[in-house]
Amino acid sequence: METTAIEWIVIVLAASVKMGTPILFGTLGGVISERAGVINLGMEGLMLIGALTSFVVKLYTGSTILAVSAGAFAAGAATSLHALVCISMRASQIASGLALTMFGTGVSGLLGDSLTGKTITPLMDIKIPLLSSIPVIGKIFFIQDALVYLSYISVATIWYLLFYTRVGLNIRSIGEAPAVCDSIGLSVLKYRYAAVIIGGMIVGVGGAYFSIVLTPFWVDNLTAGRGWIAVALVIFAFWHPGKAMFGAYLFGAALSLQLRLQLIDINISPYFLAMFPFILTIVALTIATIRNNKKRIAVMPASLGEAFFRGEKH
Amino acid sequence: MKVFRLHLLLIVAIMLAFTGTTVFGKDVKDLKAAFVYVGPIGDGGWTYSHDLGRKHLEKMGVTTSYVETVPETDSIRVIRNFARENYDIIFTTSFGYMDTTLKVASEFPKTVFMHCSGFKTAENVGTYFGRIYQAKFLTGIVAGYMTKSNVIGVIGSHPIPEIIRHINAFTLGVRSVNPDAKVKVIWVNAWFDPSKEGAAADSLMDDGADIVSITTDSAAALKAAEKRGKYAIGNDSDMKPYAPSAHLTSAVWNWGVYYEHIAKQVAEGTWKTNKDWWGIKSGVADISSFGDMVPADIRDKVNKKKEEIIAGKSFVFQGPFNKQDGSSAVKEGEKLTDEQIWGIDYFVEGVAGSLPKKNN
Amino acid sequence: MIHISFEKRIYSSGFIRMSITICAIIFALLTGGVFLYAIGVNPFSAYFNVCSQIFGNKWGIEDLLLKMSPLMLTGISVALAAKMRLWNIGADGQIYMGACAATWVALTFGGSNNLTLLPMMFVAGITAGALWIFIPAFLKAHFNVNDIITTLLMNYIAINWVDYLLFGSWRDPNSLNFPITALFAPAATLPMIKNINLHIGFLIGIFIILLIYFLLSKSRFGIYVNIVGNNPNAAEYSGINKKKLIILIMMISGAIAGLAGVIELTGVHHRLQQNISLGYGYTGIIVTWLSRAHPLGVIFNAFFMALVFVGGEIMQMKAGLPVAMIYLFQGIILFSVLGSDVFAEYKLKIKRTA
Repeated sequence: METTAIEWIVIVLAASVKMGTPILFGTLGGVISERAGVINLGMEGLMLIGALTSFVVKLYTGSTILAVSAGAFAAGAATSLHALVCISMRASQIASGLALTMFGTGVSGLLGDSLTGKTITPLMDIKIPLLSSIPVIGKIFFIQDALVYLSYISVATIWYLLFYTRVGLNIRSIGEAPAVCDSIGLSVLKYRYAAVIIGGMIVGVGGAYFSIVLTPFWVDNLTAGRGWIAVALVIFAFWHPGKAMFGAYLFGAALSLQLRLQLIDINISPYFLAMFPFILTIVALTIATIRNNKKRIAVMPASLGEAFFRGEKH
Repeated sequence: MKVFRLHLLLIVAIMLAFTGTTVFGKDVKDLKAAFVYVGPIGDGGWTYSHDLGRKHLEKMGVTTSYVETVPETDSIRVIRNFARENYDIIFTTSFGYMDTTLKVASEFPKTVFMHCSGFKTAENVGTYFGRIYQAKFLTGIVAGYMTKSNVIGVIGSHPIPEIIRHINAFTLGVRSVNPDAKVKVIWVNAWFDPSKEGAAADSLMDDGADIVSITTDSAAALKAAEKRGKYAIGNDSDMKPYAPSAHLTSAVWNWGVYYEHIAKQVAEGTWKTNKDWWGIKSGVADISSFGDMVPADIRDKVNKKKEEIIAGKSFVFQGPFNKQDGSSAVKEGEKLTDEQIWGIDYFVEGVAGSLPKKNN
Repeated sequence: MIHISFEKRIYSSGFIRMSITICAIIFALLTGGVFLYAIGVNPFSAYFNVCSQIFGNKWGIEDLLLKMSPLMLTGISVALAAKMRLWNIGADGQIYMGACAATWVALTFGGSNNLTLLPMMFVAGITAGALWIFIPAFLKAHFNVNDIITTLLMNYIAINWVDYLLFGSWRDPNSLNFPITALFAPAATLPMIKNINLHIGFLIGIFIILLIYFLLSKSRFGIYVNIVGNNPNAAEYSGINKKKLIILIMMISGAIAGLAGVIELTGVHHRLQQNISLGYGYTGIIVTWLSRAHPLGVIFNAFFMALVFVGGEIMQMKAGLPVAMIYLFQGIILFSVLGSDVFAEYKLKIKRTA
C-alpha cells in the first residue's frame, strides 16, 4: 500500500490545513484587535484558556458546540482583563499582553492539573458532498472537521466585515486615527473594547481546536508556543484575513512536514524547518515596514500600541 | 490471574525472607521515600507506572513524597531539597537526572539514591531498570499476527540505546511470526508530547501502517489509531481505557515489586549499590490484557512464548538475526550478552527508519 | 448614573509610586490566594510556609539568591533597552545563544585545563548575546522595524538552533545519545563565594547593575540615552546619532542577557541542555516593569521575582501544586502593577450624574 507522490502531497496538504487551523483562528482574532489599534500579545495564554475550558465542557457534556462556545467565552472573559488594563487604565499593551500569556499559562496549568491524562472523543471529519469530489482541492479542503469549515466562514465574514461594511470602516479608522474618530463622535473606547474582546473569543476557538480536535487530551502547555506564531502571523499577513489563511497553512505545512520528512529520504533537519517560518516572518515584516516608510502605503494600523486619551495631547 | 499470583508469591517470599532480620534495622514504616518524576503523574505511561509503585510503598506504611514534571535543568534543586529534608531513599526516574543525582549524592553520603535507566553508580547511588524489552518482544508477536498491510509504525521518543533496544525487540517479535512485515519509525524527540505523538501516528498511518506501537508515554497515538479504525499498542502502563477498540495490548511496568524490595533493604541496612535489571520473570515488566479483537489462538501463542522466556528456554536477542543493512548481527545458536543488549546502537533487519548520525 | 473618570495628578512623587506598587503587589497576592483557595490550599498558611521555608534556613536563602542571579541580569537587560523606549523581549534567545557560544568554547578548548577557558567562555557568550540582538537592533535603527516582534521571534530561532546542536553533533556520546552535551572540564566552573553555596554570578549581577546605574546617571552616554528616551524628536536637533545609539544600547542589552546564559551554564548546569532558561527573559520584563526601569529597583524586584520562583517550587514539593502556579502569580502580579500605574499619574474621579 505505498502511496504515490501526488497522493502523499495531498495528504500532507490536508494535514497542513488541520495543523494551520488553530493558528488561523488565533491570527484572525489578532487581526480584529490590531485593526482597532490594540496589540494582543496574550494569544498563547488565551489559547490555553480556550483549550482547557472547551476540554472540560466536552468531557462533562459531550457537546462540541457547547465546548467551543465555552472556550470562546472563557478566552473573551480573560481578554477583557487585557482590555481593561490597556484601554481604560492606559497601561502598556505589550506588558499587559505578556501578563495575559503568563496568566493564561498559569491558570490553565493550575486548574487543568487534575485533568492530565483524561481523554475525550475527538471531532470526526465530515465530507462535504460535491465539493469533496473536486480532484486534489476536494481532498485537501473539504474532508475536514466542522471547525475547519467554521474557519473558512470566519475568514470570509471578517474579510467582508472589515472591508465592506460601515462597522469595519469604523474599526479601521479608529486603528488609524483615534483622535479624528473621536471628534466625529465615534466611541473609540467602545469599539476598541468590542474588537479586543471579540478578537480574544476567536483566539479562544483556536485554543479549543487544540484540545477537541488535534490532541484529545489535556496536558499542560498543550499549545506549545503556537499562540506566539499567531502573534507573528498577524504581521506576516499584513493585518488581512485572506493572507492570514495563507500564512497559517504555510506554518501548518512546516509543522506537519517536520515529522513526515523522516519517512521519506529528504535530509532537512526538522529544527531548520521549525525555524523557517520565524525567519520568513522577520523578513516579511522588514519588507512591509520599508515599503510602509517609503511609499506611505498604510500597512500597519497607525495608532497600533498607543492608548487613546480623550482631550489629552501626547 | 496467573501473573498476579506470581507477584503474591514473590511478595510473600520476600516478606518471609526479611521478617527475621527486621529486629536489627529500622521498620519500613519509619522510612521516608521521595520520587522525582520527569512527566506528569497523569501521563498514563512512564511516570504513572512509577507512581503506582510509590503508592504501593505508601500502602506498606512508608512515608512518600514526590515532585512531578521536573525538567532536567531544575532537577538538582529538587533532588537536593529532598536530601536536605532527610529522606532515606530518593528515586530519580529519568535518564536525564543521572549526573545531577550523582552530584547531590556526593553531598549527602548517608542518603540512598536510586536512579532509573542510567549507568553511573556510586557508593550511595544504585541504578535500576527492567527488561521490558521482553514484553516489547511479546507485543511485537501480537502485531506481527494482527497486521494486514504488513507495515507497522513505531513512535520513537529519543534515539538512545534503551529505545533502540525496545524497537529492536519489538521488530524481532514481529518478524518471528511475520517475516514480510516492515517496522517504520518516526522520532518525536520527546518523552511526553501528546500533540506531536498524535501527529506522528497520523503520519505513520498515512504511510500505510495499520498498527502503531509507541515508546513514548501518552496514549495520543492510541486515540489517533482509534479515530481511524486502526490498531495500536500501548507503552509503560495498560492503555486499554484510553482506546478500547484500538488497543491490542501494552508492555507494562509493575514497579511496586521492586520498590518494596529496595525499601526493605534500606530499612534493614543491607542495601548496597547495584545495577538491577529485573525482567518479566519477577513481574517488574509484563504485558497487559489483550484487546477483544485479538483471537484466542494468538493469545495462546503469545502466552506460551512468555512462559518460555520466564523458564529461560527462549531469549529475545537470540540468533540468527541481521542488522538493518542485512549483515549478520548474531549467528545461529548465539545470543547477545547483557552488556551488548544494554548498549545496542544499531537497528535490526526489518526496521525502516534511520538513527541520527554519531559524533564525527 | 455614576461616572468614573481619571484626572491627572498635579503632583506625583516617588513615594506615591512606591506605595502604589506595594499595594498592587498585596492585591496580587490576595488575588493569587483566591486561586489557591479554589484548588483547596489555604493561601495564608501557604504564604507563611514559603516564607518560613526560605528565610528559616541557609539553604532557602541560597536558593533564592541563586535564582536571583539570572533575573537581575535579564531585568537590567530589558530595563536598559526600556530607557530608550526599546523592547528586548528576546532575552531568552540571547541567553540560549550566549550559552551556546560558551559551550562551543568549552567543548573545543576544554581539553586544556587552563585558566583562560572561563574568560574565553565569557567573552564568547557576551559576544554571541550582543550579535544575536544585532539584527533586530539594525532593523529598528535603520528601518524602524518593530523591535517587539523581531526580538521575540529571534527567541524561537535560537531555541531551535540549540535543539539542532543538542540533537545533532553536540550530543554526548557517553550519555547514550541523550540531547545533552558532555560535562565541561572543571576549569569551566564558575568560582563559588566563600562559605555559602552560591556562585559568583550573583556578585557579577550586582556589579553589572551598579555599572549601568552609574553609566546612566553620571556619564555623557547616560545623558544621551535620557534625551533619546524622553524625547526622540529633540534628539534629532541635539546632534546625537540616534541610529548608532539604538544599536549600541540594544547590543549592550543583548550582551548582558548573553552573560546571564554563560553564568547559568558555568554556575549551575556545567553542560548545555534544553530549558537552560526557564522563562528568565520574560520574567526580566516583569522585573523591569516593577522597577519602572530604574537600575537599583531591578535588584529589589529580581529578589521579589526569585521569591515567586522558589516559593512556587516549595509549594510544589509541600502541597503538590503544579509548576504552572509560578506563571499564574507572575501574570497576576504584572497585571495588577500595570493596572496600578494609572493611579500614580491620575486620580480616580467618581461623579454622580443624573
